[in-house]
Amino acid sequence: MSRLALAVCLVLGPSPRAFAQASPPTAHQAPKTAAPVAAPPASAFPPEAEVRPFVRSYVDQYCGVQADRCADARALLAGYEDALGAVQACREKPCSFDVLYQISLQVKKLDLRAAELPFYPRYGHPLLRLSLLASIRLNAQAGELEARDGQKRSLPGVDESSASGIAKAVEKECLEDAALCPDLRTLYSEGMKLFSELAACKAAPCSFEATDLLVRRAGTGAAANASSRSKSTVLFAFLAQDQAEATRQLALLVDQRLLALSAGADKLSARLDALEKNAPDDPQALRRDSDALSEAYREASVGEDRLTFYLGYDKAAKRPAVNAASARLAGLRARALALMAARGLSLPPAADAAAVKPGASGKGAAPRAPQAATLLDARAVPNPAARGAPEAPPILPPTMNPLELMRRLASSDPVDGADVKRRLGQTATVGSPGLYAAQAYTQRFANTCAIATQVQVLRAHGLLPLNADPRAQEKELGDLAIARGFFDDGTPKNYSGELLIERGLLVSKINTGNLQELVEVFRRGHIAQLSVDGRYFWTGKDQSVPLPHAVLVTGLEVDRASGQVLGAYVNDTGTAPPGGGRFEPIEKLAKAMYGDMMEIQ
Amino acid sequence: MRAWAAAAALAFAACSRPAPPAPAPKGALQTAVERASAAPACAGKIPGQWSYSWPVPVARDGRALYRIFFFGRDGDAQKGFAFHQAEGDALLAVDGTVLECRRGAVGAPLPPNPPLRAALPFETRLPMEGRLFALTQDVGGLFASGRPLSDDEKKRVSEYVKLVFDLSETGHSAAYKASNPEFWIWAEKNTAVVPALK
Repeated sequence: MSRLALAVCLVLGPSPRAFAQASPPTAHQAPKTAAPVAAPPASAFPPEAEVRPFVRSYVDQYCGVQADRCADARALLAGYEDALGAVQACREKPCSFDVLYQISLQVKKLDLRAAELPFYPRYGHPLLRLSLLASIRLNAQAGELEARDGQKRSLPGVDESSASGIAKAVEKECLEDAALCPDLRTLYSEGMKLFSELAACKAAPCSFEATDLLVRRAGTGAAANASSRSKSTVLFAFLAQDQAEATRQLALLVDQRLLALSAGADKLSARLDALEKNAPDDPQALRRDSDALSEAYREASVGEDRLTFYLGYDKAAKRPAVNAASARLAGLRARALALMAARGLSLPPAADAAAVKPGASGKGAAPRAPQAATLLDARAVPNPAARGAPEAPPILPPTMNPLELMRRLASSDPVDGADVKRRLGQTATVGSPGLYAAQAYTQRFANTCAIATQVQVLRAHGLLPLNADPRAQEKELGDLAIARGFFDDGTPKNYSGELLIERGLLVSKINTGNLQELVEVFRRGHIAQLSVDGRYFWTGKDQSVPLPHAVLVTGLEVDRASGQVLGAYVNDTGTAPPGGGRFEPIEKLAKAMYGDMMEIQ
Repeated sequence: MRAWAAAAALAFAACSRPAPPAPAPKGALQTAVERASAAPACAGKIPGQWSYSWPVPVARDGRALYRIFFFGRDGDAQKGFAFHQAEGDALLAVDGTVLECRRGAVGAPLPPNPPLRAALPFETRLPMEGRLFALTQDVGGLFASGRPLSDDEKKRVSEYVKLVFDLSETGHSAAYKASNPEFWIWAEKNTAVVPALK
């Protein structure tokens, strides 16, 4: 067989014919023990008659493509054959426990060397199948010995956390279920790669993007799915160890970013104090501080969301700290913008963080958002009264028809009630429903509601062009969300708002939100994205099961006399025409709420 | 003049209108079910926008647990949705802990708008759903206890079974049964009438 054919064979796997025509064992591959041996029963596992020729054939092929390690492979093969010969001899003439113990030790040493050989994922570590043969036969003989003399003794066990122990467990499962084998070998291979990359990052901390990618690789894809198929816990424990290490490194980065945020916010606050006293300032330095804070916030927030996704809200508990940092930054931003306006200062244009840091995304990381806004650019939508923003959309269509007026007057429907009160000037509108209503559109896909809410926010903030089709922007952002791991047939709750954070907007996420929390969001002058059961809003389509959906709550209508919240203005992309600033009574909103919400600052 | 009169009347009516009642809080089981897809056990397996089934009781070591299954949907609010067959499932406790979460094969879409179940107006369904969640916890406790049931308890089991099948898609019946066959055998023994699985 040519060298090329051997290489192809190793990558693609040999055909059944190749096994049938496998070269006869060479002299040193042949069992060293005498021929007339009592063969183990045909049902014995693993089937020796299949395993040994397979491994010999493998070593021949291995030598064809890995000449530099051929001698090692052949030496290992010879070592295992020796051990198996000794085992067979003990089957013929029972050995003492000490002899069995010594053979076990010899096999264990061979395993350590075998696991170090460069391997091909398609093949795994077939040499360890000989080790399995030897171990199983040795344990059986030790058991027979124990039954005879009644003395309980153990042979040296396999260290299941070592590379050889894990590889051996994989080979065992491969022998038990050949169909599962390719998945398990891929898992093992990916697990080993992750292990070495994590070790490198542990020695010299990696960038946020690289660490984030390691967490994703350790927690998703073939690894997570196939690990549940493996009967052995060894491989699962190994992958879990990778995941634990990856999340530990990311948690460390989140902690560091939170510390940087705290120190950076102190520094910015002091700078603003000086500005308030008319001290001269350097706009370039202000810009740099702002950029650094924006980046630290992004990494802390996205990192924490990644951790909550894989570990849960109880184990990744830094979200309150991230929310607090976000609130502080929002306060500083408002102060800075007011000061700059008062003093006629302007900042140099924001640097594109993704563009100025080549390689910052880390090896293999998905591209960042093309436009990374900085803290002082990503301003909140201003108070409509201050900017003359459009008035809130009418709760009900205006009418002067006295019959309709009388109907609304007599109606017990809360929408009618709120409409009447608003027309009589008995209510106040909080938030920016008029400004956001213009951004409402009907989402393009069945599962992109949370992307569509972000498109609207980004357009309202001027971070997406208004002259482009929002549905095309939704597709573009959806693709980006998939690449960054923020989307899987819908947006997981942990990743709501991630596309806003990536563009420098500040958000707070509330996992157990309620009406009171929603009102607080508007008291702070912000708006909210809310998870709801869509059935409450999509009348006429009486669906039989809950329909998880996300809407943008852009304003509240509050009774001036009692302070009672009568309802909320909602941008709902799930309907056609879209619900742009549609009024929903507060009772309905409370029932529809799924509990989690996001404050957009 | 007429407008003034109407406005005065509106003002009076608005001031005299009583405050709307506070919405009833959701039960613990409903909250747990709503948030199951966001639990770490379901991370990377169950998309947040998949719909979920009503919970089916499971008894484990004398403890009442609940199994739900998840499924995606096609379509939109205007044209209506076509739900898929079960595509994943989770086992959860009433405190919201998700003990197991699995993703299965992609489910084929169910036939759109099954005539029997979708005929219920939303306003009628909502109170039934609230009642179903309350009953599920109740029946789950009875199932886990393993003791003989009183006549009143048997009635509650009957009510639960009827509600599940009144409020679910016809095409999901087999998935409900597969969620915990032991429970349905128990329910059949303890109820006068168990609707046929369609």
